[in-house]
Amino acid sequence: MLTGSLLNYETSYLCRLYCEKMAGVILENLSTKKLVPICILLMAFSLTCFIIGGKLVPDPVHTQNAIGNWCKRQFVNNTEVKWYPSRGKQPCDRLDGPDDKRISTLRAEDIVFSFQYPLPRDNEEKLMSRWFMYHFAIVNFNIEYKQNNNPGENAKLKLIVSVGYKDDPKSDQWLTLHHEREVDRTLQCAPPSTLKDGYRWECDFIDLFEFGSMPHKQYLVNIRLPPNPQTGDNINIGYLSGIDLVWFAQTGGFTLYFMVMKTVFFAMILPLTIWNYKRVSDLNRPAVFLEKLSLTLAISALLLNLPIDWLTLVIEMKFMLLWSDIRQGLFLTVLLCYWVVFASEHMMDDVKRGQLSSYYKQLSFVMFASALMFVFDICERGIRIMNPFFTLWASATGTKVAKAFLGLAVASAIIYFLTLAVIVIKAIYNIWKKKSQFKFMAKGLQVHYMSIIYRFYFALMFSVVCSILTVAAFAMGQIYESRWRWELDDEVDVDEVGVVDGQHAWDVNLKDFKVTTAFQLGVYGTWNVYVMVMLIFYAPSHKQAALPVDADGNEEDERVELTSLSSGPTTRSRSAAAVSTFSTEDATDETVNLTSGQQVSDQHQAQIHSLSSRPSHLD
Amino acid sequence: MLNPSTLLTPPSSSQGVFAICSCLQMKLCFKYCRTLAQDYDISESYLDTNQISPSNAYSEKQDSSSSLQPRMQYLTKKQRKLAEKNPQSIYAVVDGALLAIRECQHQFEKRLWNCPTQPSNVGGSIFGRILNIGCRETAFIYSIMSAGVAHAIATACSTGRIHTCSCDYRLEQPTDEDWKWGGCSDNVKFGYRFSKQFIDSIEQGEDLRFMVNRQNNEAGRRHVVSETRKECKCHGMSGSCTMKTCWMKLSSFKVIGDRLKEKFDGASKVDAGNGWESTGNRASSSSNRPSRSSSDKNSASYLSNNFENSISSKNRKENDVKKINRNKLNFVPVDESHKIPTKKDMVYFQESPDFCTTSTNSKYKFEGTRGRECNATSMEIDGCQLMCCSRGHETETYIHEKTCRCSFEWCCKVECDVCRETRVRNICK
Repeated sequence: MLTGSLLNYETSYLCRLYCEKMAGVILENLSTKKLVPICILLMAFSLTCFIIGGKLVPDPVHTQNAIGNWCKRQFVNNTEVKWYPSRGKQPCDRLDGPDDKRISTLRAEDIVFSFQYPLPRDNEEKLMSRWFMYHFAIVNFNIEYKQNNNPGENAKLKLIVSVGYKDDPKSDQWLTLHHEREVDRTLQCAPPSTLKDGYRWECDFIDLFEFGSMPHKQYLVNIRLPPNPQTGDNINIGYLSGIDLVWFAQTGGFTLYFMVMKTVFFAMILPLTIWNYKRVSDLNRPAVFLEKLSLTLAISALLLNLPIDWLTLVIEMKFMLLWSDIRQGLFLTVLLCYWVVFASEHMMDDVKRGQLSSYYKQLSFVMFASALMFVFDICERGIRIMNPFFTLWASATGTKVAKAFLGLAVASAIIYFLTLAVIVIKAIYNIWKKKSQFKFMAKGLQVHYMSIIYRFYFALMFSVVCSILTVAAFAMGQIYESRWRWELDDEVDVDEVGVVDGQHAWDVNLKDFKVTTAFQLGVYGTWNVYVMVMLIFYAPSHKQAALPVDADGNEEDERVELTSLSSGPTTRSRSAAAVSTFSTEDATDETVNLTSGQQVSDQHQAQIHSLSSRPSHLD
Repeated sequence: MLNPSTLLTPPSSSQGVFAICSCLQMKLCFKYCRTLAQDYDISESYLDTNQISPSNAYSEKQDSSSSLQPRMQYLTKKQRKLAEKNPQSIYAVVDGALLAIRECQHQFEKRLWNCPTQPSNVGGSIFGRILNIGCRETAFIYSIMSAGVAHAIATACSTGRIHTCSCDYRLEQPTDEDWKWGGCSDNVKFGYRFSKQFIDSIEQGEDLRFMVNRQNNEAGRRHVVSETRKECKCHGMSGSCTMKTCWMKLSSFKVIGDRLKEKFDGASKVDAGNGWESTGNRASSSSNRPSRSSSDKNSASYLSNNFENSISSKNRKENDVKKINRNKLNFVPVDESHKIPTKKDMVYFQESPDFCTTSTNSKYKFEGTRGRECNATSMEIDGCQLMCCSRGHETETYIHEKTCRCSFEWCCKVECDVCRETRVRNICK
């Protein structure tokens, strides 16, 4: 009697969970023959992204370190010369750095640091391209240690920055993007490891500007540092031996691959979303929470992939960087929420869930972190659309606020992932525990439920892998790159023509496989594949309606479905065995009962009670 | 006797040019150097006047004075080719030489031999005959010169002065598409390769001296590369480190100088390793040396010709063995407890001359240590005992005028008070 009641309880339990709540999803009903190829195909997608990232795509970011040319400020007819290009037909009056003979005759405000980029390569002036997408620059102060002249703590800087551009490389006319902008920054330096003259202070990078698009061909940045004893600007900065400007832009190759990838995923997810939506809305019941969340996830994935990036090749879209952040942030938020809900729904405990309010504890961390990041981003990148020189990090208060924001966000993220880990472990434990009880079931039923359990297990594991990859991708940047040192291998020989062999020593890659890029695109692909998996496999199955009604009908339906799926004899016999077990009195009784339960899903407690009492009544 | 201060003053640019001629080419080339020096002095005005193509760069010069071609003849063929292929590079080479000389003098200010340079009208190498032997000091000069050139070329690439810096030598002809596709930024590698081709082109022999010189050149360059620092910036979503981009930044040349000085202190005396008949080669090399100072011919080819002659008499088989070993430097430290030198180590094969004897000093155009300051309490090389070659020293007190309580403008102006203090100094007799 005990076994009987347990069996019944189990059956009812599983059905309550899978049949009633999810109303029978495709994952559960799809034949293995069809399931496996779909899984392999999707996995292959994800893997392809990794391989494309590692093998074909160039490094994602293009960067050049331009050393500033010292130019003498000039006046023609008492008007200041506006631009100081370092090369071209009318270059500036170039000084030889701080050791120049003329330097003592000059004043500090008469020195202009000139950066003209991109730098010429292979005997030609290189040009920027719209394919580079965005463009930002930092400056790096080279301050040499001197016994009697060193930078003060948090020295105030006021950079007078002009940014010019040229679209026609042949012309000598620089056009104005920004003229004589005052940019306030602080100079934060740590003393060099060796306190000897000539060694450089370790100064933090100074953010100069960020442009969300790359519409021009050549850029010219002129920076002056006029000292002002009244305000204390540019006073206490030590012995400046030069300024470097490092600019960054996305490489064209990366842009192309990434945009193609987005477009492809968009084209794949869009029909799946519509299909999934139709299936859900065709149900004769309101959609359950997980289904709603799946659709939300799909919509955020569509936003993430929406290929408006192509437009930047034609028109100037300054907001692209902000938009990229927002769409990625939105997608991640929904994805993180989804994981928690998904794992919790498979906890197999008797806690009542099924709506947003049941998850407020776990999700509040995600929401909080996302909100913080959103506000931070609007402040940082949003304002930069108007003023490219703006940064929160420039002022002491701004830095504190920014640090607080990021600190809280990181803390929330950590708490979230710990919570998620607990939920997943609980879910796995519960499944394992329940599995051990299946041996009391009839053989066929056991096989059936085991197969369902395994499939959910797989979905759960995929979620876990996906989340681990996400975390790994975030951690990647920190850990991986520092392992490589910029050094010629001692064994590397240099051949006759002077080509250095063993290029691997120079690049961040493993045997020509760029791990960072691979991760970046691979994780992006995996997210999308995950969304597709959830859209396909968690769409309501058409078979579900038949299952509970009656045993014969169910069997009929199963057979028809299986035949149409052209499943092999093995699957059929297994299904048939499972189904035949269903046609026992017990099962019929159960399923009938569940049909009613399905409609009134709020009455779980009563249901369980009635279900567990029924076997004894039958006896 | 020369005032020590003049010895330690930074060299003028003409000295630097001369250093290129005499150190890099090991060759006397007055005319070229003087013209080049003049070029260098006037270079400020025309250096950056948009000379993208080599023809452009030189046409202007040909109008103004004699053509550059005759002047270039003092460079070896390969150097000439390089300089023509990379307009403006010769000025970076000069910058590099100046940098190297300044650093050499800084590093050796507390040693007997203090990297003295000579006025260009004396003749011979700017460093004197010390380049003709193979001692520790020679090794250092070679290393630091090679490093200086690599450093200066890489710097010139980053300022945009040299237009021919390349992205990637693996591609035959990099196109504009490649630039758009993947970009490039590798200046350090270019500096390394340029220095290698430019400087090693005159050391293309197979005797121990050339091998040692190549080894020391390589050590210098490699230090430029390995002292290059990787700097990274995170710029992922909201500034997170999901995106992290790194670039290479040259160290200040002081750091490289210090590393090379460490290598100088740890340099090992070597002998030729396997497949060598060291005595024969050394004999041939030493017979070659004196002839270069006055030769007007291309020294490298002259030497290699000589070398060809000297080995032609030996049997072929031995020659083949050498060919095989050529790419792999094969030195054996004389002191067996020393490790086999790596590519970053300095080596030498002759003991340093005794800088205390007048005959040596006149031979190497070294002024001696008379009048140099020494440290009375030190037992090291800067101590008065060693520094003054046991001639003794004079102690004198003097009032030192020092700038203090300065307020600096970051580039140009210094406003200081003058502080006076009494100091003691020891000067070699």
